[in-house]
Amino acid sequence: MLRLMAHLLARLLPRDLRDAHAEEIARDIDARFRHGQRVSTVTDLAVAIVRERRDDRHRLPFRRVRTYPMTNLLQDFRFALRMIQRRPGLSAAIILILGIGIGSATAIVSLASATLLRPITARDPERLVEIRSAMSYTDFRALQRGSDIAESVFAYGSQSGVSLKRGGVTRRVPATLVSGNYFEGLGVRPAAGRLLTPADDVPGGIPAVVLSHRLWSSAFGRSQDVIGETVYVNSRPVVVVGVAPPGFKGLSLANVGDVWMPAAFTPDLATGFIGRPAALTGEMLWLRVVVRLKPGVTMEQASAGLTALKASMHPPAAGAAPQVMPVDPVVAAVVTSGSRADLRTFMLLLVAVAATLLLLGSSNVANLLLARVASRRHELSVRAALGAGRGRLMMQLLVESLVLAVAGGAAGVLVAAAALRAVGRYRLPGDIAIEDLGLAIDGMTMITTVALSIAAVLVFGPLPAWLGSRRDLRPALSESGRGSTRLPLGRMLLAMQVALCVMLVGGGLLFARGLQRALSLDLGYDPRHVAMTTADPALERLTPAATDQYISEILSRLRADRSITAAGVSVIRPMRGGISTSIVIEGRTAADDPHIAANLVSEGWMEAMALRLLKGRTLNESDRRASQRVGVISESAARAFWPGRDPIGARFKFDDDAEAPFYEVVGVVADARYGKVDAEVQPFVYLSIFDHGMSAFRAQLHFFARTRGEPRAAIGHIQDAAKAAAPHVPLFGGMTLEDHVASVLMPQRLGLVLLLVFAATGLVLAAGGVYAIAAHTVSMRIREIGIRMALGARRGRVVMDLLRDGAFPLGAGIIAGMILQLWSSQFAESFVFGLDVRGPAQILGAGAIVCVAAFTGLLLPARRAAGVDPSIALREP
Amino acid sequence: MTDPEAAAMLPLTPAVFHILLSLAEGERHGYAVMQDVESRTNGTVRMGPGTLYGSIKRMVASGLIESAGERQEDGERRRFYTLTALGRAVLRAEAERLRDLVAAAQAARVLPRPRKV
Repeated sequence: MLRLMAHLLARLLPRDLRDAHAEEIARDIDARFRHGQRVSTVTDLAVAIVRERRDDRHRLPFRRVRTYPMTNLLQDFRFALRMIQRRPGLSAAIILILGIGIGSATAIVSLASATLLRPITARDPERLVEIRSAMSYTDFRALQRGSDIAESVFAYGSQSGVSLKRGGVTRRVPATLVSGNYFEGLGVRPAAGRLLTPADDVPGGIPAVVLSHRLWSSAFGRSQDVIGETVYVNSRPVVVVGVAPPGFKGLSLANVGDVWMPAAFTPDLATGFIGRPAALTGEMLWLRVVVRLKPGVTMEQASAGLTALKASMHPPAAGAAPQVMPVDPVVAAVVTSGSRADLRTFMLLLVAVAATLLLLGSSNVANLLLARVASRRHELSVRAALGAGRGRLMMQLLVESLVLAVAGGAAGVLVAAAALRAVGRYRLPGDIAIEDLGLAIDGMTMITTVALSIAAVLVFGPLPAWLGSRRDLRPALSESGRGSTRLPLGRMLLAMQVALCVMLVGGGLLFARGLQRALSLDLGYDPRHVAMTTADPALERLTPAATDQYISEILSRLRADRSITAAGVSVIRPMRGGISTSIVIEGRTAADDPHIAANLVSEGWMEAMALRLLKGRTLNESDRRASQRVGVISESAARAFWPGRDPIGARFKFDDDAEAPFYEVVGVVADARYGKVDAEVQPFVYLSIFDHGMSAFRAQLHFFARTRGEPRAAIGHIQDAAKAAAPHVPLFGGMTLEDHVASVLMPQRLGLVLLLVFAATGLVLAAGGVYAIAAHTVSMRIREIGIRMALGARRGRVVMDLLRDGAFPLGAGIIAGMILQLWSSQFAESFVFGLDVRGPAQILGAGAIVCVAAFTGLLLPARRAAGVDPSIALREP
Repeated sequence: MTDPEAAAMLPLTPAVFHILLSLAEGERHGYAVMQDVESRTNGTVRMGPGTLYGSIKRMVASGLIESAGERQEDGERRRFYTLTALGRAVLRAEAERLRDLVAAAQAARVLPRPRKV
């Protein structure tokens, strides 16, 4: 036992002492115990040895210099600043590299945290859960009364646009209908006035509404006068009672509301699907229900409790299992369920890409510092010989790294701010406008930056510091300042950089191909030279006849315009799907329940869209009043429902009911992409927008005008025509059809832009890294090269030698990068429209691009080396 | 008076001074030196093994002491150390230096002058 302890204690001693005096020391320790010292001296001894190690190492014998840690640190800082000033080019490069890496990572982390981590403003958000399926108003009320797991139950439903009129100005703003306890349940405080209370949420009287801080600031100049004022929502008077706190975005990031209105007034204030009395009485499922759980209630208990409650409200059919009511934490539920996974994957992809770039940048900096340490061997040796301990040298080098990282972090803040501004106009999956997230450089961002800077120091700092402080530097003193010519760790870092770079470039190529493919898909219509604007006559409560009149007037005004070749209107915009309905074909009984997507359009619309007519005719003005209802079908509808025969003249209806009217097929047009770009093309039917049987679907009207030249001016023409027809109907969404189509591809575009920027940066960094290391190697070997040239070596031979020297790390890096790329590309799969993400094209392409860039970085110094005059090289010190 | 080679090594660290002092009385092994120093200074100077053998190593390297071979003591083989001529000269030079310092302190009335008995 004592032997063992003696042995262990001896292990604590510095190696040189252990080697020379191990036996003696073991015996001494042994002797201590034999002389009756207590076991507690073991710890005393251990402490003494450790303290001695700390104090005594690397000091010159016989002279003790007392140093104080703080003085050292200050000295190190001053020294670091001097070193940074002495090599301004190198320092600037390092700070720039770190700034880009840290800045882009900061921007993406704030984006990710705003969407995935802390997207909502609420008190104790961890106790909030959202019921996954939408609920009817009556069920919500029953739930509110009957729940024993909840502290409160509240609900909201989104309305994408209401008209808000104050003074003479009408605005179209997104709105949210909420239960009276919504704000109370979330636990937010007003910025001005008061928020809604349960007392506001009872029918009768003038409804109270709350404005968003954003709207209050942008539209009303933060005027206190607005509070208590009567304004008009969809032509109904309401009273503004208060303003929500700044940054409060509600619970849905895709539908960020600007006005909150009590749900009890839904039929009065809302339009379209939920603007009907049935919204409050029927079985319409439109409310998202949020539960604030009592403390200690788990998600499972919540789900079980809600399932039981639902079963008691709607007893399941005999033998059937009760409908399970899953809940999601609100933090995860803010994005509509369909795109939640997409958003998550997308953000994680961006985070991974940014992390890769930061890692690449940091290892690049590590390499630059490594090369610098190698060229500073002489200085470091002298300092070591003068008595600087290893810890001291290492500390000094680490402090230099730290100063660089702080400067890089500061640059990173600027880069992050610029990056967040630059991506503002893009949208994330789930139709989240980045602008709406209100991202700015705030405390959270700063913390992120600091954390990332520290992470970067940890990556690039210690290695050069450790190597730089190595003891075997001392022999360098006798070598007149020349260090070793090889940097094995530098080469490993280089290989890593090249590998990461291949991955980034491969990702960039993948996104580029995906987007190119999406853009080159045949849409079935021609989005060029088309202007569009949307009107919402339902907000002004125009009657169906008045709406017909409104449409006719606008279209005839547009057709009178000589710059417009065709004009039409539809109820669905491209890329926004269609009205899905069942279809019954005359003379055919289908085994399944066939569905078709429909759009309501006016005459002239197909011409404005340049939808290709394959057979028969398009809709015309005579169809408006004709006794026979008609429809134009798409190519795939013809194939699906009338296979092998001419569909012109065939009849169909939308309901099995004997009363339901028949429609006659008068034309066949090419398939058009109406949903997501990558979705299957579905059978489509175009019906007349003047068919009053379908007027329930006639909420928003999208006017299209095909122009001879630049379409942007025509947006104003449509708006003028609409204003002339009915001045108060709100207009919005004025843009070109090309922009609209492009907006659907926003996440892909954002991904592409970021990946291309990152890949380009990575490529420059990697090539620069190769160059720096190669240049360093060459400068270290210049004497040797000179001797070889003097002895008659040929230029080409010298260049080849140098290239071969560098080829190994590069080749290894490229191969590793291609493997990494093969593995990592699966995460991009959902954003590149069914491309083969493991296709050899982008993997080999990425390898080739990086290869060319890296070997260029290698070739330049090698050629320069081979060009030196041996007589000069030999005279080099 | 002072050997110039010895003077170049001054001043000594306390550990080195005490080890030289201990060995001036005769050959000792490491543990004995440590015990001797502790008792001589009433326990105010304690050397851990790192300091002891670290100092011994450097002193051997700089020729102040040398190994006097291994012998049996208390049933254990121990390595003994002894002063070299240089070591003795250095010890003496350091002691003189300290004496001069004490004298200077006395002249400045920092310390009381010694009384003749």
